[in-house]
Amino acid sequence: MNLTMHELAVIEGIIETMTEVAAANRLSRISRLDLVIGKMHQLVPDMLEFSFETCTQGTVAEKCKLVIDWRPVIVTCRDCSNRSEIIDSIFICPHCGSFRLNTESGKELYIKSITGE
Amino acid sequence: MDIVLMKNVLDRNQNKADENRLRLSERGILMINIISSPGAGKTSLLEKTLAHFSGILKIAVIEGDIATDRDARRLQPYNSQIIQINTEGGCHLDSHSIAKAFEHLDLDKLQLIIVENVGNLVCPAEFDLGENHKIAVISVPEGDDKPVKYPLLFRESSAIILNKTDLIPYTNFSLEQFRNYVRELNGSIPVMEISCTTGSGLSVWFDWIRAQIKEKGVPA
Repeated sequence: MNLTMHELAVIEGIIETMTEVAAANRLSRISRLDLVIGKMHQLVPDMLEFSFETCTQGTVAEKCKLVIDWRPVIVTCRDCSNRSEIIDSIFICPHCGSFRLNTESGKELYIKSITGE
Repeated sequence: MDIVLMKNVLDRNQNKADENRLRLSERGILMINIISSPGAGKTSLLEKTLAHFSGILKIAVIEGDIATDRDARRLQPYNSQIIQINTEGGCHLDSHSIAKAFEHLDLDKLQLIIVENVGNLVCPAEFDLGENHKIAVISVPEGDDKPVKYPLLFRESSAIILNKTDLIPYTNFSLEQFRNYVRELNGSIPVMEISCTTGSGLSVWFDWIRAQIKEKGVPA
């Protein structure tokens, strides 16, 4: 499947996993998919929903409910050790002004769980 | 039935990328992944790079485009191994296509692989190919606020190249504003301001490559 558009490229990975899990667990229908997505990924929620709905038609996950836990971008400063949430992509420590930041959260992109029967 | 997975969505790509990385590391080969919008000057940058290092470094290029081999043909005169991948609609290269490209390269004769990714600032940032460094290239006509619109790429990159600096007098591009935006996104990486057309600033890029080769301990 050659998919264009950013959201579709991500959906391709999800559908592959759902199909494998359904086969391994003999699920005839997947009713719910829980995803964890960090806000660093430039994924538009509406496009993701739309792509998901479109691509799951005719599969074991057709009409599956998509639940997304969006994670904020949190960094730890290597200079003052404070943790902060990054807003508006300004990656400067609000406490000490350092650029030296470790990203603790915001880059997640994983399937938390699949519900089916 | 609830099945708890905690599985990375891009697992399949990541696993192959890790394999690619290991394979290159075992041979002491450095790989750089160049990412930009269409038309920012990736191929021009490669032309200058291959010309400069001809006879000095053993370089191969993996060229990614949706269609045609026009870019690969531009690079033919420079005496390096060039592999063209056509994604036929795919908006980014992935680690599996890079692994396939390795099959056509004589890895024993290489020190550096440069990947020219498909022109796109979004998806390529998500798909690890197994490279040592991502380089973001942006060009003056795209506007000085471009980095803010693509935070993931600019955070993930080891260096940023601003190309077409010769066009600054003809646009409303503010170098100061651009440098501020980049500083806010990723203040610890080098920003190289170049013009492939005039040659200005290219030596900084060549020196950066030399420094990475040295740091990685790439065998001569």
